[in-house]
Amino acid sequence: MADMSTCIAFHIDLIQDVSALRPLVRLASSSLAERILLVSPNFRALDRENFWFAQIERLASETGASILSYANEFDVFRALSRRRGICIAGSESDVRAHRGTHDLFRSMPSGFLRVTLQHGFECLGFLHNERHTASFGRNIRFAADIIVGWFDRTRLKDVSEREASKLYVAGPMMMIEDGPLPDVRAFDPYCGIICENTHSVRFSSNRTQQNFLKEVEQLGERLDAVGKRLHFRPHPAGQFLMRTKYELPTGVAVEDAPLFELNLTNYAFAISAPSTILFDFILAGVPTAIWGCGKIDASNFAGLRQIGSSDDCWRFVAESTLVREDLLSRQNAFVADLGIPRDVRDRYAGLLALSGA
Amino acid sequence: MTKRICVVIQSTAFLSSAGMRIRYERFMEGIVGGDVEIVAHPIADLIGKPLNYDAYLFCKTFTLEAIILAHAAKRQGKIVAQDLFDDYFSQSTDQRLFIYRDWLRAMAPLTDVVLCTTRRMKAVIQPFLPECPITVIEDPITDYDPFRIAALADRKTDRARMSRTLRIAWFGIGDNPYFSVGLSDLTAPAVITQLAALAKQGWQSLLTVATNLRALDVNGLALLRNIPIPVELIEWTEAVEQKVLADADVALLPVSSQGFSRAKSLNRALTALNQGCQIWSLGEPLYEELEPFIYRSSAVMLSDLDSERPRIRSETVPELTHFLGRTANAFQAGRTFASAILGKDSPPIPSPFAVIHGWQTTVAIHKLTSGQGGLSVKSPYCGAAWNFPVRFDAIGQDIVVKVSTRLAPHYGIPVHPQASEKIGDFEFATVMPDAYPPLPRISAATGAPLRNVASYGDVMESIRCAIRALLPGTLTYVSDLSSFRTVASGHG
Repeated sequence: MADMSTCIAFHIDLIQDVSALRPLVRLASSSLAERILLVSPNFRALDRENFWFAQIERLASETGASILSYANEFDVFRALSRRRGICIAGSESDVRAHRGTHDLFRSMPSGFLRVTLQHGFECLGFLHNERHTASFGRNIRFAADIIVGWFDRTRLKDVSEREASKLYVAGPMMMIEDGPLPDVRAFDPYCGIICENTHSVRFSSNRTQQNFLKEVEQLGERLDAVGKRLHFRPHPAGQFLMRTKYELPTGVAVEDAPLFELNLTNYAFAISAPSTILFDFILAGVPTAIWGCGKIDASNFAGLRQIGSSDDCWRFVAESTLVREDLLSRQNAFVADLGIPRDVRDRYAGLLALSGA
Repeated sequence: MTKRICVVIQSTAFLSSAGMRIRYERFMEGIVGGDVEIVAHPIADLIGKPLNYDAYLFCKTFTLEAIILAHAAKRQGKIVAQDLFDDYFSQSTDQRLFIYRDWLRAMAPLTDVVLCTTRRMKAVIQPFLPECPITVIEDPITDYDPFRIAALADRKTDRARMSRTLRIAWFGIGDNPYFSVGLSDLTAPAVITQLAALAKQGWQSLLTVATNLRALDVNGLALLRNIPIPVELIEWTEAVEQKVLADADVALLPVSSQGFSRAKSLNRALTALNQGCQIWSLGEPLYEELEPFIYRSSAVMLSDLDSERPRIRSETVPELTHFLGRTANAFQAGRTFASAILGKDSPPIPSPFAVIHGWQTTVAIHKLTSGQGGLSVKSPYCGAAWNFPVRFDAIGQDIVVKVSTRLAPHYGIPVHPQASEKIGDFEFATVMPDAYPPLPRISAATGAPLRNVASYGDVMESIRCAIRALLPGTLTYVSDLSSFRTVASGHG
């Protein structure tokens, strides 16, 4: 009765959780603890075509984890009640969108330490865009026992004072897996990518969304005219193409594979409204610009290249090939200033060790 | 000649509920001789049919249909009895429970006999039914097998002592729509402290919780999270309960001090004893009567187990048997049950009845009322266009009483001699205002809910008085599902 088996559980409730948790699940694969991927009913409903569930199955088989696709909190309680360990969620807080994980954490057997991750550059309860604060306020609370941040405490301005004692700064999950250093010269000149996240609260009006799509169109045409291709990446959670039946302009190609399957360094540039994907490209050594035409709060990205107009955009595309080193050194300075720990991998390994295995 | 008792229940689902199982099935087993028959029927199967039983025992039927059925039974000289086991009545300041108190008051003049499970319950309901004899019949125990209990208990003691592991069981309904009971009793701070203390005394422990799925929602599980020992959850069924108890060393029975909990019977303790469990009673001393056979302190219990002298063991089973023979004897209980119900004369009441329709009522009640020979009365709050033989209509700020011209001469109701009007299928005449006590003025019968709430109680009471004046001897009931009634009636 006393020897309860140890277990590292990962909770997947939103589509984004798959990518957020993936490096951590892989890191945990060497652990002696049993590993379980808990998949919520909400996730199964969102993932109508089972595309992302197939990714979960692949991840499970690569790492030796098992999958528990549950129907309600009672299922999870029953499955975990004779175990102890740690449960890590890709996203959790007391806001409505995170309700599923919040409820699961509230009702989880007491032998489990509950952990939630900062799951994006800007993230509720950690670092807000002004639209986050306008929609959800500043007192975001967690049911988790530990909240894991990416940056130094001083940079995470939206961690509520009431939650501050739970904060453990471990760094961005994408820095767990250190691949070979990106070769900044090996890119396709002028071939860049523009990333869509129009479902985000940051897009406060339809006008802004339309302007964004107009930008895609104009840039696509300009690149097409010089025989180059623009890639368009819809946000995995937004289901933009399916929702809006948007027809891409000629010369623009869709790129919707999971981010971890792409070689980001191939791109000459990346453009997006404020979004975590900018950070992925910055870490990959790709010149990155923030689109927002002054309508979207980009204060958390201060110091990076901002794009205000269509000509601006075109100039940035040229710079990304012609004065690439300048842009990259500016980005590196931005990253250096965030207070990311040097030992990201070790810090996450330390977190996993809390399972007791 | 065989006497037949009909247990009136709300729905067929109740046939398989704990209340039915614990009580009536055990009474049936206990009644020997075959001169009394007990049959249960859902209320829908009885309404509008000939009343063939000698007595009708109403059990958890808190609806107007039940009152109308009781009225019909009473008019035919049948015995009307009630069996009350849950205290939904003593919370006089809780408006959510007004419907229960109101139902009991309406049933009072129709009721010949009341049964209940505990003395505390008797004290709770006596003020509602001052004229009625109330008989306490405790839940009887059946399938009592002293040899099995002795063998089980001794084996459990051995196992627990050798392994220094205590298997604890908690079983039953984990939630309640009105009171925080069940899982919240199990996870009360005092209980948590006691469970945590087991480890200090060198014992490992495991808690098995067998309860209904509805209770195991997020909030229920969040409570269980606080339990400091390993917990195993199982969905309750009768078979699961038996299995869990047969396997457990101890049944944990925490009871809170609210009225609802204090009026409960000894049943859970008896059920656990019957499976050879030690009883660990925490909180309210509900199981005091069983004092020599239960534990209030875990330290005493653990040291008794260590010394192989727990309170339930083969040596104490004869005493237990003797004790249960006095208190939980199914034969005795079955006989008391039959004689309490059938031993009473039930003079038929000649009174007719009237149902006053309020803000939110149903056509089913309207039809049932006329089908059972009652009068359906429209209050000014009722917007339905059914054929009511008696109407209280708002004209401006005044309430005007109209009766159908067929009804007026039958009851000798003085009506205005001027021309009658036709509403629906009936001809109506206006009743002379001096034939009934004056009615209050009403601000607006429709459209102004707040002002209506203020006048509702007063107006409805005046309508009752008016009906009693116009139709002497009539018993009146109100049909209104809206929260108006509760709010207007206030506490009480």
